[in-house]
Amino acid sequence: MTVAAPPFRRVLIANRGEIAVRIIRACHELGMEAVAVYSDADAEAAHVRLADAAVRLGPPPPAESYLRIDAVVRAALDMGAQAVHPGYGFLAERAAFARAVEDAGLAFVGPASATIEALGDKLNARRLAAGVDVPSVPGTLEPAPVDRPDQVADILATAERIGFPLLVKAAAGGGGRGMRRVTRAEDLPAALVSGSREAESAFGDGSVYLEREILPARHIEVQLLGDAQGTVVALGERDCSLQRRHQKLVEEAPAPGLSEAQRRHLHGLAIRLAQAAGLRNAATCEFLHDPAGDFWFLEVNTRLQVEHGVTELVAGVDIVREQLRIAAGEPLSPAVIAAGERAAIPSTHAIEVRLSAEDPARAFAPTPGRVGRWVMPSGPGVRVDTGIEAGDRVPPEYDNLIAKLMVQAHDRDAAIDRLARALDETEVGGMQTTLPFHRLVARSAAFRRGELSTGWVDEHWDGEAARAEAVRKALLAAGLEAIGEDAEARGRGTAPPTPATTATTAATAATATAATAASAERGNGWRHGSRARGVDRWPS
Amino acid sequence: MAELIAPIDPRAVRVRLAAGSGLGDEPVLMIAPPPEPLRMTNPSVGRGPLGGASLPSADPPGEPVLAQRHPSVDGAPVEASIHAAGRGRHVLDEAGRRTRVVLEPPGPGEGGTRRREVLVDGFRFEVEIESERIAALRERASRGRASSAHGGPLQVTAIIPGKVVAVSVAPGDAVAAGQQLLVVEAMKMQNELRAPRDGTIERVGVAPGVNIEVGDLLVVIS
Repeated sequence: MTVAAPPFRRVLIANRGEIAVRIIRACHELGMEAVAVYSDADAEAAHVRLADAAVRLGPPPPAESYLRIDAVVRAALDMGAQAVHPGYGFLAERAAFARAVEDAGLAFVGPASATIEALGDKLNARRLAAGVDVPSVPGTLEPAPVDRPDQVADILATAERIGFPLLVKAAAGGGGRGMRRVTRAEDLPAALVSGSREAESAFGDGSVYLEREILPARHIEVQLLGDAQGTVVALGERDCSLQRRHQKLVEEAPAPGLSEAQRRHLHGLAIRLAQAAGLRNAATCEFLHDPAGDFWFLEVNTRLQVEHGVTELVAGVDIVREQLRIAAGEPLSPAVIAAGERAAIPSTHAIEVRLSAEDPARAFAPTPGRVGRWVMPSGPGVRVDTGIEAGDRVPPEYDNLIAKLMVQAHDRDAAIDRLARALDETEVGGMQTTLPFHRLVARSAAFRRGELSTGWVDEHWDGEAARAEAVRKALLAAGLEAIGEDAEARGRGTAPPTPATTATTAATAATATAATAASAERGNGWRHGSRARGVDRWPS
Repeated sequence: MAELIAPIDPRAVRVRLAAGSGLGDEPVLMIAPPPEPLRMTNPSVGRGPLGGASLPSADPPGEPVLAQRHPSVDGAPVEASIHAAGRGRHVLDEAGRRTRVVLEPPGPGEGGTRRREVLVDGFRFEVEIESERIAALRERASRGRASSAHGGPLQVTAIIPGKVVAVSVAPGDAVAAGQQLLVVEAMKMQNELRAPRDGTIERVGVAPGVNIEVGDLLVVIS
């Protein structure tokens, strides 16, 4: 490969946290300068520390900082950036932001604003899929009438045809907002009204539609890259079935249990849809996979995904690097084309767990605060993407994701073994994280058998029981340590060795481990001597 | 720093989750050391990050050391021990089932207890450790002591020696059972004395700053 000039000289990263750090790293590897933006809550955050320059956007609330399109575009222009990478979340899927960047004469590192607009409307995406014979989850293709008594009979007839239970979903939706699960026909009118109202306040668009609830189902998505020349490649699929409240907890690539034919079929569906939408840069096409083996199109995410790393590990492609090259007008690299050809016959396996500041024993409630002990795993096949160091604060204003722990191995079993090992090395103090849940996943026989579904968390995770057992161990450990340590301190240097202790000391020799154990026991012998005297000294 | 941390009587401790970090229904464990060792046995070695996995002992025969002693938890013997592994890391061994536990350095807790952060199985807790004797004493003190039968005036007398640091009631005050009467500092701990029953304060026998001995009359409730 020839040494090419960097795609840009300077790139502004319109994001924070681990993804901003991830993108800054890619910029530096390509020989480009990275400009960070930050709110007052992040003035000393990792992405600011790592960037070549940083621009303050405003106070901590996202609406006053990271969501300010005008401030971000002005920062990019002021700092002489030639491109803007939105990361994920915040402005990443706002067509208005992409358009503002384009209008300022800068490169938007992502799909064109028109593509974001067309695919961001889920109804529009469903119609697009229907046009190229990609089966969508059964449901409606037009906004459902809301609060229209005259049309109740029509919508009820449609609902009966789709079948109950069904979901009311927001056309502009995401993250489960505006979504309502309806099990009985008589509940539908009220669900339409409340779902529409929630969608209106969350997205400024109250359009809702109906979709059959496919359960049990696996959530499988295809990573796509497209260039300005119209070439679209699927880099393989990911299984993201382990979710709670429609937020992913664990992702892996490839999706376990699919045949090569199924993979080719699935990747083909995604590419067909992406080409119909004129996709450029990175996007992900999401599907539900039912027990009968069918794939149902769900939606397209027109951005880099949180879980892109597992695909990078399996495909051997740096997706962020490719994004930056594509944004500069370069065609897909030969490495990407080759990875696309191998995508249906993956030869390694990768798993990611999202370590979040949430308490898995209290319904994954947020636990922002300051990080104490912070030990991340390392060693063969382990990748950690994070923007956290010991002593950092996890602000309550933003996403709770604090680190992505990824492992890679030659097959899924080995990857799970590696995940369990890596999680054993992980120590986070100062705040509760989702670590206990991930430890369960790594040791779960059902997970190892590949029994995945979107209902997995509710079926397999008993947070209260896990916590009660951990509380018992914590109290026991702290108490045992307390009755040992202080006695030793008290007795040091004054107690004559007991006969047993002498015998133990004499036996110390053979191996280093035996010596360690013996010395620990000798300490306990001393403790016993001191306890005997303690009984005399402490009044009862 | 070390001076600020309350000493712990090693003959028995109470351990609980620190206030604010529990859900409210967690147990309080009373942990006491084992009696003197009775027999010799082979040591359990190996301190790997086993995450709760149970492994058969790989120890060579011979090299006998002190018997695996059984400390007691809430009065019942349990086969459990803890081994330091450096940098706050410990291995909790429960009948051969080993769990890696991080015990962060202790700091001062509420009311003279000792507080420390514990990491186990991915969970993170703050626990309070207190000498069992002091905990029991404080409980008795806060229950107060009735010196006369029902109906008549109730004399509340001191059951621990110490210094009165606060008096919350005055003669003529109506009090409800459980209401704080005064605070006595004993063994570097503040002990609340609560009303054993409803009534009216007839007399207060002490004032802040006064040193008291066991049996001193503190308050009379009618």
